[in-house]
Amino acid sequence: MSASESNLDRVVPEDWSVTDDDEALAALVNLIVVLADNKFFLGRRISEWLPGGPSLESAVALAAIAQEELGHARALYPLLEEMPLVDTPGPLQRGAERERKYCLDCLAEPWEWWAEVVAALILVDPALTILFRALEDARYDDLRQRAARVPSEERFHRKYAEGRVRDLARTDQGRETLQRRIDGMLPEVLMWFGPSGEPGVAALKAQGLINSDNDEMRAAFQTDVFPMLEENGLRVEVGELPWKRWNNLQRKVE
Amino acid sequence: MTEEELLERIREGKLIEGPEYATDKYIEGLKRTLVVSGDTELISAPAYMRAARNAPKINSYISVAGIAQDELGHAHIAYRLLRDLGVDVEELVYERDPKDFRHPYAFDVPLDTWAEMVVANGFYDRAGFCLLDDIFENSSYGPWKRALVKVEREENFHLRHGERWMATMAGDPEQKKELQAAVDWMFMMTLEWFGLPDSMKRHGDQIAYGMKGSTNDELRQTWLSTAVPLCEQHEIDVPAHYDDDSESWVIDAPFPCEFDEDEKRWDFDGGEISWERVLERWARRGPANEELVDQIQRGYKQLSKSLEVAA
Amino acid sequence: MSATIQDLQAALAGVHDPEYPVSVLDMGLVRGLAVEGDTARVRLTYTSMGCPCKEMIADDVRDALLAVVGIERVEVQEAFEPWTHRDLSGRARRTLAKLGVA
Repeated sequence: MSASESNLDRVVPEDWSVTDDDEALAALVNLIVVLADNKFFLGRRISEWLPGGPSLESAVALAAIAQEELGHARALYPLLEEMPLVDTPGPLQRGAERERKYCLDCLAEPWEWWAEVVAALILVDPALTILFRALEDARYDDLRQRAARVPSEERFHRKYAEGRVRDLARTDQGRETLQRRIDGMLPEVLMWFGPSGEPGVAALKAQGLINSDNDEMRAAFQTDVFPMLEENGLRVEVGELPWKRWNNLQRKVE
Repeated sequence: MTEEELLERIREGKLIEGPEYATDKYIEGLKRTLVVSGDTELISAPAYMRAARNAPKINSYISVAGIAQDELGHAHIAYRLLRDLGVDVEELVYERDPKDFRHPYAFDVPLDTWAEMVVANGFYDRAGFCLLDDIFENSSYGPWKRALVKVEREENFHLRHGERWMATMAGDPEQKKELQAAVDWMFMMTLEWFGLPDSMKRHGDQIAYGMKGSTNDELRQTWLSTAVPLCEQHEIDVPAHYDDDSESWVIDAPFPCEFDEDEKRWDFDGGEISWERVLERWARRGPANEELVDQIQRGYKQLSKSLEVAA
Repeated sequence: MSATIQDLQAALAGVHDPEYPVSVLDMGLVRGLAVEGDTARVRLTYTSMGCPCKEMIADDVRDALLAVVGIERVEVQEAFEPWTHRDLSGRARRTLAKLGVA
């Protein structure tokens, strides 16, 4: 991820042996805070809808999903304190501790519509899971162990999300509503995997800290999610991605 | 089955396993009790999530989401039993007017601070526990009695969550002030929750039918017997004490009393008021009533009425 | 006299999951236990990464181990290991089945 943070003053503890490559280290810090912040705000946004799912079964499931998303963030934040850098972003507890948020723009504000919840569950959550999978054999034990547990918990989230996509896609009006939200979120989610050949990701890969490059992860996401959406009559064509509006540090569209 | 035969069965300690073993009168009473129970559990989820916005840590936010999940599950149990009795639960939960919800007025007063959140766990969940435990011990309706085993275990976690946070906050002078401010309105609010005094309410039928085992005043005493010591342990002031002569808990404030719902303050100076005045306030419902019910109904309404497409 | 692993296990057998009458040992949450002088070290995993009782369980475990004679310090570490229903002991399964939750 991004290596554009300035002042990479290193304060390497004696037992820190994950990487001695400056670019990889900066990208690693960015990767952790980006994953954690996205999980944090995804969990918060879902939790705001926790009593409001369209059935009681739905409400109970949303409550469980919100806890797990926040739990994933909770597991990642302490890693920031292990990083041998000064000025790493701090962990979020309440959500307002720092001005700069490293989450997708579509997670920045509370959602007004149920279709936004469903779109985020079928787009954002699976996109994050693709990245956790890419950390499966990272040469950094503390991160790998945490990341490895995430995809197994996500299986239930995915099953739930697909059910809610089908609920909406059953009627023309519902499908149209969901389509509008997908059109709004999908470009940002695709860009979230980063521009092709991003130096930070290349450095992580060279150091054995991630197993896929930007385009491989983006392709894995499309293979994972697109067929299911198309089966339900939803369009997934996106035109040219608005890279000019891409903030590569916070990994979001501005 | 006649009323006499039914009452005889209940007196013998036999459980009622379904409507075919009961009278219409019994079933109607059971439905009323289940609606109150389901609504109370359900409304607590948005009420608690509202307060959780001020959770001090990610851990505490997750704990409240877990508690809300339990409450939704408990509501689901009550509504499922209602569905088995022929009630249209979808209409009941998602299309009912907010004013017709049967949860206690207490939940219509919004919980804003983290102190209010943890006192709600310590007080409201304790009240819910007293009521459900009484039903668990005394209910003549088998399906509900069995379902309550799980409910009780989970409510135990909510109580402990409240107690631990109250202990933590009581240890810090600033936070203790916030805690005391929350207790000042929530203590009397929970006492009101148990309803009319026995002198004004007849429980004969409800107890004979095995809907409950204890009267309102008895349940209020049960609640006081653990809520007051909890507060005393942390030197939090509450207007109640144990009276050795009468061997009961005595409330040291006008009760019932006028409540300023915008200021969240009891008008003790105004003295005791009639229960009719309280019933009027309950019937008007409180400031958060519509907001909280909307939190529950909005997904269903958007989905069923395609509101978003219209918007 | 210093405490033994058996002493620690006996203490943990009395620490119940906050929602179920099942000990943290029978729940399969304890993934490592060590004693070194007056220090007890315990590695815990939770039934999910978003476990709402995580703090309460860790605190209960710490309190129980501190009550063991000879233990002055307790280090609780989160293991981040997967947990499935297979991690429940036979006793835990019987208890949970009786409650109708597993």
